[in-house]
Amino acid sequence: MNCTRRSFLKGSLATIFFSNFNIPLYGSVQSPKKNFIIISLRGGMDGLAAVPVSDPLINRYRSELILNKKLKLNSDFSLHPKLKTLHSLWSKKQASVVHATNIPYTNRSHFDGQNIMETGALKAYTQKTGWLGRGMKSAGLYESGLALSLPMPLLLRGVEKNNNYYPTWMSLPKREIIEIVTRAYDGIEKDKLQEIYNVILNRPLTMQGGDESLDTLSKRTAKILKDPLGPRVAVFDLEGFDTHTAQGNENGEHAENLQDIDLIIRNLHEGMGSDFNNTLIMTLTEFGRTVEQNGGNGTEHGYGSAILMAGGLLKKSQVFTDWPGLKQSNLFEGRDLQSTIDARSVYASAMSSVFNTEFERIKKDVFWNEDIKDLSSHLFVS
Amino acid sequence: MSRDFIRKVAFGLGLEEELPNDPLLWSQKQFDKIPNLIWGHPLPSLEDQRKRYGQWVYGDRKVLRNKFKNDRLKYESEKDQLRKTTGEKFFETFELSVRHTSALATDSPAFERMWQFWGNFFAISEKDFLASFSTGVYQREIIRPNMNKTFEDLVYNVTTSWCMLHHLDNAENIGPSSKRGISINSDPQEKSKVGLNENHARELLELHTVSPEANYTQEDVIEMAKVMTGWKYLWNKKYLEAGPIKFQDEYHENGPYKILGKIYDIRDYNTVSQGKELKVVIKDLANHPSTKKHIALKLCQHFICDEPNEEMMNKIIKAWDQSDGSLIDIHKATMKVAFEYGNNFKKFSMPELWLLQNSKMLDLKYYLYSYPKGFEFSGSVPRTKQLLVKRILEQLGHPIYRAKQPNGYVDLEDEWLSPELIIRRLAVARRFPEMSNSKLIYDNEFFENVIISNFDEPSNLLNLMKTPTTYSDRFVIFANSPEVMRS
Repeated sequence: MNCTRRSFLKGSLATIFFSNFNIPLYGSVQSPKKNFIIISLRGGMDGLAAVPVSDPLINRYRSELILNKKLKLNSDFSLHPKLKTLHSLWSKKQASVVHATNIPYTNRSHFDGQNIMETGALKAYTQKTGWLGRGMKSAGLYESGLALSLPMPLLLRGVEKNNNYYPTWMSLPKREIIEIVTRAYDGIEKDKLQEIYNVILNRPLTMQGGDESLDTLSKRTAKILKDPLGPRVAVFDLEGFDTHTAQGNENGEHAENLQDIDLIIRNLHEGMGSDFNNTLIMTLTEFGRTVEQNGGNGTEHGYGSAILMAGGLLKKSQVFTDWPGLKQSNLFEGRDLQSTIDARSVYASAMSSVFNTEFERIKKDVFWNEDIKDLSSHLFVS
Repeated sequence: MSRDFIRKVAFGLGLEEELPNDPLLWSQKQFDKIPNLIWGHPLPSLEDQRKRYGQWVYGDRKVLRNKFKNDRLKYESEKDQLRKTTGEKFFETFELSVRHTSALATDSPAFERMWQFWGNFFAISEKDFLASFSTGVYQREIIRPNMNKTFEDLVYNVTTSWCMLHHLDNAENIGPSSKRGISINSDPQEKSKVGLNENHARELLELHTVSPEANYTQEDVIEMAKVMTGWKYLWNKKYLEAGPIKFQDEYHENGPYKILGKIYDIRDYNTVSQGKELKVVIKDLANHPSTKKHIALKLCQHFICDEPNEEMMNKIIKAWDQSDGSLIDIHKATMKVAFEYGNNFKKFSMPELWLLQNSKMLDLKYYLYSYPKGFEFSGSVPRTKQLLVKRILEQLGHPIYRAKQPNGYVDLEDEWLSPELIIRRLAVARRFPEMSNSKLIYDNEFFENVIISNFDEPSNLLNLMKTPTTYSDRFVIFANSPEVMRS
C-alpha cells in the first residue's frame, strides 16, 4: 500500500519507552548495570542516505539525493553529515553500523513491516508479544519493567508488569488527593489498581513532570538510566522516515530525521557520563528504501537498510556488512538494496551480550530457534 | 442488582433519570430495533467519505508530490491546505462527537454500548487515512444497521466493506492462476509479481469468526485467502484505491477449496463469477461452534468480567442456537447474563467507557461542541472546542479509531494497568469541572444524589466523598474510586 501518513506526523510523535529492572537477576545484582536502548525509526529508514557507500553507481540512481559533504568512516562508507555525534563516537570505538540488513520481510507495507520489526516473527499479526519483551523474560528481567508510552509498545510486551512514564501536558492532582484515592482501595485484597496508584505516588523525581519534546525526553532518559536501580532497557520511537517526496540530501526531511537520532545519542552520551561505557544504543526500522529516486525526488518502500549502533558495549567501530552491491542485478527485485544479514541475528546477539544470556537461549526463547546467527563476538564486548 | 446494572450495561443514570421498574427488560427492549443516532445535522455517508479519502490521496500523491518535488516547504503548506479542504483533519473528531453525543442523549444506552462493542470487535486499526475519513462512518453504516440481523449477516457485510478490505490488504490478494495473475506474472515488464495475500483471510478466521480455538491450519488460511481473491475496489485514476468495492472475477483464484475439513466445490457459474462463494463459506464460519464460543467469550469479557465461566458463556451460546444466530437474541441473552452475575463480577472500564459513565452521571456534556445540536463540515479545520473529545480520548490512551492492531483495544484490565494510563485518568478527572454543566452546583449534596441514584451499595463511596476537598478534587476522587473505575 502506498502509505504516507507517517511523513507528516513527524515531530509531534517522538515518544520514548523504558523498561526497568530492579529485581536482582538470579540473586545477584549485576554490576555495573548494562543498558540497552532502542530507537525505532518508523516509516522505513534510507540506509543509503544515513550511511552512503562510495560507489559511483549511486549517482545514476539518485542524482537529486547525493550528499556532497559526508563524514568519512572508511574507504567504503561515510555517515550523513547530520550524524555528527555518531561520527565523533566512531573515533572512540563507540559507533558501528550493520549495513545491508533487515528483518526478513519483503512486502513493503509499513503496517505489516512494523509489526514484524517489533514481534520478530516471520508473518505479521501472528504474535502478540515483542522480541525485546520475550528477551527480557528469557533473561529474567521481569516484575519491574518500566515503559514510557501510551500504550505499551508491542516491542516490550511479553514480560510481566511493565511500568511506564510518558509526560502529559495536563497537570496532576495534589499528592494528598492521590493518597485519598489510593486508600479507597484498602478494602480490596491485592488490588492491582491500588498497586498502580502506589507506583504513581512513589515515582522518582526524574519521572515527574517534564515534556514530551525529544530533547527533554532524551536528557531525562540519561538521568533515569544512571540510577543503578533504574531501568535498563529504554525504547525511543521516531516517526517520519517515509520520505516519498522531496527527501533532500544534506538538508531536508530525511536529514532532519537523522538529526533526531543524533540528538538522542548526543544527550545520552553527554548525560550518562561513564555509564555510557555500559550502554548499547541500536536503531530499528521496518525496511529500507528504493535505491533509485522516484518522480517526486523521494524514495519508495524498499528492503535492505542499515542498523546504527553506539555505546561502550560495542566491540569496535566498524561497518559490519556482506555488501551486496548496487548493480541492477545485485538489487532485490531489481530495485532495493539487498539484505544480506538477518537483522534478528543482530537483535539476538545484542540481547545475549547486554542481558548476559546465552545466545542459544535467546534464539530458542525469543526467535523460535529460527536460523539466526550469533554475531556477538563480531559486534559486542561480552 | 439494579442501579449497578445500569452502569454495567450502559453508562449509569443521568441527573433527571429514574431507575426503570424492570432494568433487565429495559435493557433488552433496546435491541428490538435500531435506534437513531442523536445528532442535529445530516451525517455524511460512507460513499461521501470514501470519495473524500480518494480526493486526499489523489491530491497528495498524484498532484502535489509532482508539482512541488523541489520545494518541500511549499509542498507541506499545500498539503496542509488539502487536509482542510478534504476534511482529513475534521472527520475523526466529528464522528467521535456523534458517538458521544448519542451515547449521552439516547434513551437506548445499552444499544450504544453494544454498538461500541462491535465496532471494537470488528476493529479497523490505524492504517493509512482510515481513522481520519472512514472508520466512524464504517461503524455507523456497516456495523450498526446489521445489529438486528444475524451474526452471519454482520460478518459478511463487514468482510465485504471497503474499509475492512482496504484495512487488511485484500486488494493485494490476487489469485496466481487468475486471468490477471497469469498476465501480470508472465509480463517481463512487471517487476512486482502478484500472489495471495493472507492478511484478511487470517483475521477473518482468527479475529472475526472461529478464533484459534478451531485449530485451523496454515493451509486453511491459504484456502480462505483464495476464496477472498477478487474482492477489491474498482480502480479509478481519480480515486485510486478509494473506488467502490466490486467482486472482480479476473483476479479470482478458482476452487475447489478445503477449509476446516469441508470441501467447497462450487461449479455454478453465477455463484463463482459473482463472488458468492465467500458468502457460502462465511455462512459456515459464522455458525461454527468455535465462533459461538469466541463471541460469547468476548461479550462476557466486555460486560461481565475478564475471566467469564462456562456457565455464563453457555447461556449466550444457547440463545444463539435457539435463534440461528440472531443478534437481537444474542444481545438480550448477554444482558440477562450481565444481570444475573453482575453482583459478583465487576469489570474494569476502558478509558472511553469511564469517560462516558462519568459524563452521564455527572452531566459533563460540555466537552462536546454544540451539544446536542451537532455541527457541519465546511471545508476548514475543526475549532479547538470541536477537537476536545478527540484530545481527551488521546490523553486517556484510547483514540477509538486508532487501535494499533486489527484485534482492536484489548478489553482486559491488565492491558490498562500502567501508571501512565492511570495518571491520565487522574489528570483528565481534574479537568471535569470545565466540562460540567455550569447551571449546576457540584457540592456534597450533588455527589450524594448521584451516588445514591447510581450505586446499589453506596455507603463506601458516600464515606469516601465526605473527605473535605476542593471543588475540582471531588471529581478526581469520585472518578478514580474503585466503585467508578469498575462496574
